[in-house]
Amino acid sequence: MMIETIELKKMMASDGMVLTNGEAYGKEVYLGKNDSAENWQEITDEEYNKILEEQEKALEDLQP
Amino acid sequence: MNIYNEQLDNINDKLNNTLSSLNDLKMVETVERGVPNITVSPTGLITSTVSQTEGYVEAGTVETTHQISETDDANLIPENIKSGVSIFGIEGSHQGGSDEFWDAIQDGGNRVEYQMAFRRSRWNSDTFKPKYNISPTSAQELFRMTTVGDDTTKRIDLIKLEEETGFKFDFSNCTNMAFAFADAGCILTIGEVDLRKCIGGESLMYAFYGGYSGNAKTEIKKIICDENTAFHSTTFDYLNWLQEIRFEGTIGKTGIIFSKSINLSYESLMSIINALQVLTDSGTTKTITLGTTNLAKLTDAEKAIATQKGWTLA
Repeated sequence: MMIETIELKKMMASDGMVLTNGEAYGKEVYLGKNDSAENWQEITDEEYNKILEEQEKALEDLQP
Repeated sequence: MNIYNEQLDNINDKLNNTLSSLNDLKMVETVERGVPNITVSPTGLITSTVSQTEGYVEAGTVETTHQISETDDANLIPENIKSGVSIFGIEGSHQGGSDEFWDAIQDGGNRVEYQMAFRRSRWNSDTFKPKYNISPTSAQELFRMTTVGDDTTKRIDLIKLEEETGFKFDFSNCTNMAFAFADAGCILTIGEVDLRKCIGGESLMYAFYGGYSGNAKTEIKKIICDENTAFHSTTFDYLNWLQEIRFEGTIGKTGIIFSKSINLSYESLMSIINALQVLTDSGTTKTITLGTTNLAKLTDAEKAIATQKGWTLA
């Protein structure tokens, strides 16, 4: 029989906030083995939505 | 006495006449029943001819059959009959004017550069019937910004098309699929896609991006990849309707976003997680963005498969 303990580090964004490491975004984050909480910051929902708008605009600029 | 003699004479006369008639009767032979011969004229006139020998024919039925074919008319071949139509049992294969169209657009089957081939056009399951397999070396914007028209039930089911017709999309030699299926409103499902040659930095940018009109894709049958496949964060973004996707190989080079694909099945999510490359030895970390809805479909132990490999789940 083998018993293994697996650690799962979960970060939850505060209400009205989104977690980001500058590239990925999410309300909840499960840290990879080599990742750490210091790599993630909170931004507001409004800031996140603005980023999404900018990404959509960037795509529109690529329209044929 | 005279009356009786007269009557006897009458009877004798009748007997003699009858005997004479009997002598005139011939012996009738039993003969074979004639067998009809069927011929078809060039104008389609079908003639059945029977030659019967004189004689006694026993009761019964003779049957002759003739299958109309190109031996009756050399033009009665599949290539001359519209596809989907059968004439006298001969299934048509002619695509109408589209045969010439596909010969032109596919260069008689020799075309390999398919960038923008179907872009910004209206296609549906009635019209997208390539004559030749499509094996592109480049496929940028292949179906980008296509539409299906008013009848959205006619979105192209590429998986079904391949299964039912033998047509194949072969991307195994394709080095660039940027925007290939981006905003592809005419596409419902995608079959097997080998991305192992797409190793350039932006070669998979927005490759399957849903966008506003192209997010109706429900299934991507299989993505074949390895650690060099240059996935981009936008490769599978905004596939809002996507339910099924399977990965064969390794997801390694960069993270992928599936957070908008809230209808992804559990099996699809596990396929993604199981394909993640082990990063822990390298000390690096990358992120797969599944989103809250998809994360809720996984147990902590299943999430830990990804995190133990060195991947952060967002």
